[in-house]
Order: sequence, then C-alpha cells, then structure tokens
Amino acid sequence: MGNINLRGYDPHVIKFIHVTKEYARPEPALSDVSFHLAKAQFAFLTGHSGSGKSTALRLAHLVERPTAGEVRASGFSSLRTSRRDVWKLRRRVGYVFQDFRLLPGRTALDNVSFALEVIGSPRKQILPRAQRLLGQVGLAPKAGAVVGELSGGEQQRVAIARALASEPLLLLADEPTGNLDERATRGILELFWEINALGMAVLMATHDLELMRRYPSARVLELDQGHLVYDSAKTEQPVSSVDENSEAGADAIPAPAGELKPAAEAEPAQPQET
Amino acid sequence: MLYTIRETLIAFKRAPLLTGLSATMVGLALFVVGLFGLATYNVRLYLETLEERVEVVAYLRDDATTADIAIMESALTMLPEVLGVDFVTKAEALEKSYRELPEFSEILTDLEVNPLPASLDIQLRPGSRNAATADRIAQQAALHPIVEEVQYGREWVEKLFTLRRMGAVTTTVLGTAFAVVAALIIGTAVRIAIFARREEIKIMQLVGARDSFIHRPFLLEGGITGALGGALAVALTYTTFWSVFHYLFTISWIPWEWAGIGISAGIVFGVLASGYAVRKHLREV
Repeated sequence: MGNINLRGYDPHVIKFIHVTKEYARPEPALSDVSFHLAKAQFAFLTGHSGSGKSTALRLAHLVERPTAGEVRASGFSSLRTSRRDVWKLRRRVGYVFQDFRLLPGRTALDNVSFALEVIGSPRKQILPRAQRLLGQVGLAPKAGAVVGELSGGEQQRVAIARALASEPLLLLADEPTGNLDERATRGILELFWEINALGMAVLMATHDLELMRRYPSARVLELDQGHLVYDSAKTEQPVSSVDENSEAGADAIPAPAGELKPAAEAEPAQPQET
Repeated sequence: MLYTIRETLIAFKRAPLLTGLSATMVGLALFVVGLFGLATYNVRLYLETLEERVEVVAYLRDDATTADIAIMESALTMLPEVLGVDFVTKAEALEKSYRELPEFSEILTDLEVNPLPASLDIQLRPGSRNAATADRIAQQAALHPIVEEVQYGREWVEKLFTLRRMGAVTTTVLGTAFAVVAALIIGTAVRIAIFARREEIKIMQLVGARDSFIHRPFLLEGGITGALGGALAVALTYTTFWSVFHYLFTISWIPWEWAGIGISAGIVFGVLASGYAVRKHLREV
C-alpha cells in the first residue's frame, strides 16, 4: 500500500490538501483548507464554536471523509484508506475529547488496560504498560480509583494515557480543557508539552485565547466559518477576501487573515500534491 | 479469545433478562418448527405403513397353467421396482375372503363353484410405491396372456403421494417462516445489546480496534442465544411429545439428529443475525 511507504519519507503527520467538508447546511463546515503539521510540532487550532475545529479533527481521524480535497494523517490518506483499514490510522493517531469518553464504573487502570487489550497487546504486558502510562500522566497513585471518583483533570489524564497506549505519532485533542478549571487546565497543557517534547506532534483545538498566549512558541491555526484565516507559521499573511466574512474571527490575534499555502516551516521535501 | 468470552459473559451478567427473554422467544419460535417437525415425522411414518399396502394385483384366467404362472412370476420378480410376487390360488382367495369379509361367509359357503380367480400379488419396493410406477407395472403385467384383469388403487395411491408432498411443502414453508422469526428476534436482541454498549464500541473504534475484534463478543452472544433457544425448543417439543404419547395416542419421537440440526440451526441463525446487526451498526457510526 502506497500510503504506508510514504510514512518513512514524509516529515508530516497531518496534511490537509484543499479540504472542503460539506454537510446538509448551506455553508460548508470547512472550505478549501490546506495546512501541514510536521512531526513533533505543537499547534493550537482555534476559532469560534462552529468554525470547523472539530470537523477538522474528525477528518484527521477519518471519522468522516472530506467532500473535496485530501486529508492525510500519519501517512493514511482519506482517498486511499478503506473503512476496514481505519483502525491502522487510529493506532497511530491518539484522540482526546472534552468529555473524556472513559468507561464509567471502571478504574483508571481498567480504562487504559482496555485500550491496550483492544489493540491486541500481549496479555502479560498489558498491566505493566497500563501502570507505566498512568505514571507518565502523573496518575500512578490513583490507578485503582473508579473513574467517577476522579476529578475532571484526573479523568482527562486517564484519557490521555489511553490515547498514548498505541504509542501514536500524533495526538489530536478537541477542547481537552473545556471542562476543566484553571489549575487542571494548566496541568493538562504541561502534560501535552511533555508528551510533545518526547517527539509526538500535538494538534489541540481550543477557543481559550489566554491559554494560547501562555505558550507563544506553539503554532496557531485559526479557523473562521470553515476557512483557515490565520497560520502563525506563515511568514507573511496576504490579505484576502476571506477577511470580509470574519469580522469577529481575527480580533483575538492581531494578524490579518490569509489565503494559505502549506506552512513555511512545514514545507515538505517533495512538491506539494494536489 | 479470552477477551471475547469475558466480554460475552459480562454482557450476559449485565442484562440476564434480555438474554433470557430473547432466548425464550427464539425457543418459542423454534418450538413451532419443532412441532411441525414432530407432526411431519409422524405423518411420514404413518404414510409409510400405508404405502406398504400399495400393491398391484393381477387376476389370472382360470385356464392358466402352472408353467405359465411360474414364467410370469419370475418375469415380474426380475423387475427392479418389484419387491416380491405372491401367488394366491383360487382356494386361498376364497379363504382370504372368509377371513376378511365375515359378513359374506354364508353366501360364500353356499357357492357350489369357487368364483374367485387366482392372482399374482405384486409388492413394490419402498421408493417405487407411487402412482406412476404402479401404473407401469400394471401395464407390464397385463401383457401376459394368462392375465384376466389388473387392479391397483390408482386414486388412492395418487392421493397418498399428494398428501405426502403437501406435508413436505407445508413444513418447509412454515419452518422457514418461524426460523426467520427466530433470526429476527436474535438480531433485535443483539441490536439492543449493541445499543447498551455503544459507548464502549465507540471507544474501541477510537483507539483502533479491528472490526472483527468488536464483532466477536456479539457473534458469540448471538450464537449462545440461538443455542439456548434451540435447546429450549427441543425441550418443549419433547415435553409435548411425551404428553401426547402418554395421554392421547402413540406417536414416535423425531430422530435425535433432527433435534441436533435444530439446535445447530439456532446457533447459525444467532451468529448470522448478530453479525448482520453489528456490521450494520459499525457502518452507521
């Protein structure tokens, strides 16, 4: 399979190539969005609610397919990966939700073990690996606690440990701190940075501008009404017609909207595919 | 595999009522199939005893010589459809009449000359006891010059054959219908089980479980439900048989292989129905 061979050569974990996603509504959820995310890069995906952040993440996990264009995540193309093979992508791309999506009534350890079991880890390795993963997210002392007894921040840590179970190259996070208080939010962000420092790319959707300001080294991608209107990795941001539709969209970050080609620092070795 | 078995047991433990109810419904649906099986089997046995009486009788002329009769008898015996040929002399025919028609015994005794002809009674082999064969044998027997007349219960044989075919068709149609009902019940039960575990399935898909891995516990659940239903159906059918046998009239129990086939069918339907349901679910999410 071609997309597997690509993995060794492609320095990108995500490629959006002129991606459009339409639903039954008149306005597309995403409109001609192109960007690349390099390995081990940390990026915030921001925008108002309804701007298409979640849609972009869902496309990157092949929960849905683009109406037009191509999405590649961890080497798996939306055009060439059959529904039967999506599980291969899922093991290379972790996903964290705002509402954690843990198995209620089971312990933190069970939740992580479940993921390891589901992906077919050898039985003898499951328990020590689950414990190690919980240690990695700082939850080793609470491994035996039932999910309901854990705080929001702790539950999100369990979810992150679970997402790390298959040792993915990329972590997608959809408003992971949306339900958390200030302190827990900071803790989760620190954890993401630590994970990122180990070489995993992180794409985190958030509308928390304060949070992004605290991490100025992270790349910022902004969506507004389905258009990618800002990319901090771009050296220049030419003004385009997109700006007209986004009166409220770009107020937070003082940068004009732009018609985008792939981010400069993430420029691939080979010419851009269309 | 361990995971599959464990998850299936957990599912049964979590919703024993659901499993119990669907197994019972499947059992009742298959019970109907079992009753038809029991009825068909007994009707078939009864028809077979009736069919044994299907024979062709060639009445012989009074002037037939012993040599002619012997030639005809051996010619008929050589036909593949013929099981055996009995020669009945005039005297034997009269004796038989006394025995079978006692109300006419006085008239028969008063006769000065025995009016009954000698005959060759031709029995057919089990597979050949139908109207077409009987007709052909009768025609061949009639070719012999010593034969006065050939008789067999043509209409009777035809009716018997029709009855048997009707029974087979009825059983097949109704059996299939109720088997489909059983499959639908299992499919619905598995859909409910899938619905109860949809969050878990979502998480499995999220972390990269193969579809087959997600399928397996549901397939096993469907198979077990089908097996339980099938066993219940056999038990109910046997109870019915026992009651009828003891309180109404003598019937025979179906061969145990039929019961085995019934339970296996329950398992196969269970696995297929749940496989269909879970595949459909995974395609929708």
